Amino acid sequence: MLKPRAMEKNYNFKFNLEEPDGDAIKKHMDFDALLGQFEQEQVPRKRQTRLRRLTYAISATAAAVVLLLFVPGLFQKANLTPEDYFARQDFVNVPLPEMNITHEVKTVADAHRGGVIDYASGSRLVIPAAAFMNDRGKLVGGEVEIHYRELHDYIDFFVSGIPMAYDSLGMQRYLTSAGMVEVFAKQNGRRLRLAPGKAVQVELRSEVRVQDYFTLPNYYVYRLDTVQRSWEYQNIDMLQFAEQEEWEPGVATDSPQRRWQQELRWLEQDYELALQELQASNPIPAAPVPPRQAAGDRPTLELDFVNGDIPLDPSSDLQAADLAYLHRGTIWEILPESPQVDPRAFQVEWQQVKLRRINARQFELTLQHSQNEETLLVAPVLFGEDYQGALQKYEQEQAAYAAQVEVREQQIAEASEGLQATFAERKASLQERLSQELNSRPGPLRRKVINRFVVTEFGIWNCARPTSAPQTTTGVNYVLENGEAIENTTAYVVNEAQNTIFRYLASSTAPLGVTADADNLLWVVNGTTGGISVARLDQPFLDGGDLVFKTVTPPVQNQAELRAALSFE
Amino acid sequence: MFSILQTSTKSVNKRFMSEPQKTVSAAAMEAEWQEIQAAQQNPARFRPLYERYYEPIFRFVFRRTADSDLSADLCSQVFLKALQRLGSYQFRGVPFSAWLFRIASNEVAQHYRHNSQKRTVSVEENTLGDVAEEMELDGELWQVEDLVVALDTLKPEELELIELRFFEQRPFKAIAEILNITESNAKVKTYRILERLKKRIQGQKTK
Repeated sequence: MLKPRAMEKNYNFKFNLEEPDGDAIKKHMDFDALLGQFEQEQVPRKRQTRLRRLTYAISATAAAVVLLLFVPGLFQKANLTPEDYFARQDFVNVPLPEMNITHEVKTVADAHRGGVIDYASGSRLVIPAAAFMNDRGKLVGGEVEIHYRELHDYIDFFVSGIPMAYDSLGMQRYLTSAGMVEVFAKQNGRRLRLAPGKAVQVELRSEVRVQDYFTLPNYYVYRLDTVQRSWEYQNIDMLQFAEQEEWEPGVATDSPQRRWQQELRWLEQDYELALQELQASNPIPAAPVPPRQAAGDRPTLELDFVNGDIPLDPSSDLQAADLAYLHRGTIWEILPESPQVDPRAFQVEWQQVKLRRINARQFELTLQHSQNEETLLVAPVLFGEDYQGALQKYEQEQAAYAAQVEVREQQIAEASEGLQATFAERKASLQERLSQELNSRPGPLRRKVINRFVVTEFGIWNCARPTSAPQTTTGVNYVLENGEAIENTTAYVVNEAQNTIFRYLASSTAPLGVTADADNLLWVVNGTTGGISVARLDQPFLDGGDLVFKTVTPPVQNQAELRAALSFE
Repeated sequence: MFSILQTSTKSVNKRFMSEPQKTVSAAAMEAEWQEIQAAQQNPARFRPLYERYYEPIFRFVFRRTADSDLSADLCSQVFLKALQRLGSYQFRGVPFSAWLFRIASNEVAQHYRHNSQKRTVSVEENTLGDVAEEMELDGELWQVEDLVVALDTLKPEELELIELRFFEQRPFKAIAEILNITESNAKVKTYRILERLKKRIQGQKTK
C-alpha cells in the first residue's frame, strides 16, 4: 500500500481507517446527561429566593471544596474565546424571558382566499390566496392564525435576544435597523409554512433617523436563518416616508414639520390657481363647424336667419349673430326623429321663429303664428355647389384653427414652465429654510416611514443596513460597584447613533467595541438573579482598566422599567 | 446565472447520475416527522432519534477526526445543538439525519478552525477507485498518489462534497441538505470538481 502522507499539505488522509465497533460507540451515548445539559440551559433566569440562594451557595461551596481536593487545575480561569462563548449559546438567546415581546395573534378567515391584516401600529400584512401548507406540503384552507410582532429599537432587540451581527463577505459587521418583524402562521396549534411561490406583503411602519429631512435613507431586507446562525440578504427595502397627515397627531402644532406641511399646501394651491388663470386668460379658439350635405330625400326648409329675412323671436335662444358661422346657402333639413309635420304647416304664413340648439347637429325649430305653433327637429345642411364651397372654406378655417391652437399651446407651455420653475424655486427655498431650522435643533432628526417588502418564508425579517463594528479594545476588567468581577457573560453595548445592539464577551481577555463619536451604554445581565448592571461611557476609547457597572435597584420588573434603566437620558 | 449539468459529456461517465445509496422512504420520513414533532413539544421524546442517529453521526465525525474521544465530544455538541434548534426544524422532504449531518459538518469545521490541525479525511481504497472511475481515468495509468495529491489541493468545502458523494456514498439530495445548497448545484459543483481533478491529474502525467 502506498504511503501518501509525504504528499499531503492541507489534509491528513487516512487510508482504510479502522472505525470503532457499534458497542464501543454506544459506550459514549448518554441521553440523560444530554437532556440535563439542555434543560439546564433552558431554565429561565429568574430571581431566586434568598433561602434558595443560600442553599445553592452552601452546596456550591461544598462541591467546590470537593472538586478542589480531587480535581486539581479546575479553578484555572475558563478562557473562552468570544466565538466559543457565543457558539455555545442559543443563536436567539432571550435574556429575560418574562420581558420578551409577545406576538399579536390575528386570523385569516379562509386561507384559500387570503386577506389583509391591519395592526394598531399602522403596519399591514397582505396574505395571498392559497398561501399556506402544512408540514406535509398540503395546502390548507379554513381559519389560520397569523402570529406577528414588531421590533423597533435596541430594547426590543435585547429582550427578544436577536443577534444583530452580520457576516458581510467574511467581515464582521452589524445591522442597524429600520424595523424588524417576526411572522408565522398556525392552524390547530401546528405551524404552517408558506406555499412555494407565495409571499406575504409587509408594510411595516417605523421611524428612522435621517440625515436630511427630505432624503430617504437606504435600507435592505434580511432574513434571520436560525439554522445557519446568520442574517441572509434578501432584497432592497422599498422605503417611503409615511403620509404626513399620519404623523400629524404626534407633531406639535408650531413645529417646523407642521409649518412645512401648511406652507407647502399653500404653495401648491397658488401653483394650481396660477395654472387655471393661465388657461382662462388664453381661451381656446372656436373650432369651425364642418358642413353637412343634405340627405336629398328629406324635406327641407329654406330659412335664412343671417340676413334678417326670417324674424327670430326675441326670446329665442339663438339670434342671427349666433348663426353667423353658418355657410352661405344653408337650408334646414327636417330630421327623421322630428315630430310628424302637419302638411298644412306649409300653407301657413308664419310670423316668426324660435331656434334652440340641442347639440352640434340638431336644432329645435318652432314656427310661430298668433294662433298656432309647429315644432320640428332640424339640421343645417347644404346642397351641391354650396356644399362644395363650404367644404373648401371649412378646410381653410380648420387649418387656421389648428395653427391657432398650436400657438396657444406653446404659449401656455412656456408660461407653465415659468410657473413650475417658480414653484420649484419657492419649494426649494421652503425646504432649505425648514432644513436649517431642523438641523439647528438639538437631537437627531427622525421621520416615520413605511418599509415595504415581501416575506417568502416565515421567521424574523429585518429592514436594515450593515454598519461597521466599533473599534475594539482589550484588557477591560468588568467589575460591579462592589468590586465583584464580571466574567464570561454577555456585555451588551449600544449607542444613540445606530439602531443596533453590539454583543461582546465580558472578559478581560476578549475585545470590547465602543463607538468613538457617540455616547455608549453598556450592560450585563446577572445570570442568577436576572438583575441588570449598567455602565455609561462618554470617553471615546477605553484604555484598559476597570469598567465599573452599577446594578439597577430595585430590579426592573417590566419593560417600561427596563426602558427607563437602559435609557440614554 | 446558473449552470446546467452536462450529463452526456465525455469527461463524466453515466454512473454519475445514478444514486449510489438507498434512500429513506417517504413513509419512513413521515413516521419520523411524527417523532420530531413530539420531541419539539417535549425534548425528552428526542431519545429515540438520539439513539437512532448517534452511531451514524459518531461515525461521520470519526471519519473526519480519527479520534474516538474527540468524536464523542463533538457528537455531544451536535445533539445538544440539535435539541436547541429543534423548535425551528421544518420537514422538507429529506431525512432528519441530513439535518443532523449538517450540524455535525459545521461542528467539525468549527473544531478545525479553532485548532491548527490538519483536517482528517478517511479514504477507502475502493472508493478512491470510484472517484477515478467517475472521471474515466480507468484507461489511463493513474495512481493513488496522483489522486491524493490532486484531492489535497481542493478547498475544504470542495473536498467535503467529494467525501460525501464518493467516500460516504450519499445521495445528492442528502448532500444538498447537508451543505445547504440545491441538489442541482451539488451535482454541478461535483461535476466541476471532478473535471478539475481530472485536468490536474492529466497535467501531472504530462509533466
